[in-house]
Amino acid sequence: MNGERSGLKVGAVLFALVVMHFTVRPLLGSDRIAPDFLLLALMFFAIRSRPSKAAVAGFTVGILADALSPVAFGAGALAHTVVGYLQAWGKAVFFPDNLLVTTGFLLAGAWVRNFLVLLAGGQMRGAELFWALTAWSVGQAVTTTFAGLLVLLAFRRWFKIGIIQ
Amino acid sequence: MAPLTYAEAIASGIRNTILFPFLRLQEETELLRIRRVQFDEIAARADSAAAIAGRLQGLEQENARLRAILGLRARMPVRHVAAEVLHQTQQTEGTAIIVSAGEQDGVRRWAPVVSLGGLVGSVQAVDRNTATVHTWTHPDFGVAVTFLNDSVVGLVGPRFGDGLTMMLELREVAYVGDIPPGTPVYTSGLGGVYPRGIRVGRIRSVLDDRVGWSRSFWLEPAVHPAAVSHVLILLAEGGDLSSAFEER
Repeated sequence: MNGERSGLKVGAVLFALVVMHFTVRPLLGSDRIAPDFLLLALMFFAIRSRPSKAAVAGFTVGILADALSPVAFGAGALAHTVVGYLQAWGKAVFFPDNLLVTTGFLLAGAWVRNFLVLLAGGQMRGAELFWALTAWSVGQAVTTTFAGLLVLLAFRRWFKIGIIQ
Repeated sequence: MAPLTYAEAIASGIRNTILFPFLRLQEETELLRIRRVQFDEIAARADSAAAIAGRLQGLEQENARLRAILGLRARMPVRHVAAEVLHQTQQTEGTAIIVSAGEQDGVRRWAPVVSLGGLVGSVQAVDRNTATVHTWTHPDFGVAVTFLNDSVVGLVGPRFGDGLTMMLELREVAYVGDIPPGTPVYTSGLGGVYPRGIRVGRIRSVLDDRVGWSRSFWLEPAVHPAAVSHVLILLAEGGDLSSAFEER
């Protein structure tokens, strides 16, 4: 019963993140570095799930993201599937309740997603690709991580993640 | 409706089903933002102008942009529809944008898309309520251009410039004497996609010089897709838009 309620609460937060992606995000400046709430929802889901479930969720989120950025359809699905799987797998292997590790996890997840999208998309080359990977992707990873930490701080009990140590 | 590839058809299907309520929400948010700007302007008029002038700078800019779009609409000599740019997620954005007008607004594939400053790109795929626009930053983009007096004709494509910005390249223009920096460049109407007279950019500097034969130029783009929030999609084919984009 308790687990069910907790799942519902987390589900509500994840849904709120999805809604924020379409309402709040456009108000936060450049799309290239604004936090990606969809990815954040996926990473939070993956942290609480098994790798197989997280990979399926990643594929779903990726397809949705691809529908919104159809220039490289499929690249998002691949990237989100990999990130979802790795987050869930990594949580089991490395994930102590530590603020620094959580930060690193979110940061790496966001950057790896962008890296895979850019690489698999094949739309950018040379200097353009270099700057997208080193400037824009890092910028978006930082803002996404920052937003993620705010969400975790606000709902840490619901997520059952201790980030104080 | 123009034939869609499988990927475009799937993307379009998802946008029209699962994502439809979210995209409507996004569109409404955008409209709300515009209304807030208008409301703030009215409220500002009622207040002391001096006290709030500083805070209003951003809102005034937004308001000026919207007014300018309205001005452009009034000057536009061909049939068109206005649309908002829907924000996206992935780093490939910028090469393609999604706009809030589709088949039901009369949008067709290859329709030219312009904004306040000039050319944005062309429609690549259309579904019922939205359209995917390939901007001039897309690797496949190309447009035939000229000066308004037809003294130079050439092809323009995207090229990564200095720093973090995409630029345009005017390729291999036949040697016709000096072209001063700042000279505006317009679509020539050749090629069948873009009508004549849409501003594409402005000559910045010489990129490559094959002495006696041809030169390539850096062009300062008239429009940066990342900064565009509203666009006009041209519904009629052909025509001459010089009167809308000519510098006064």
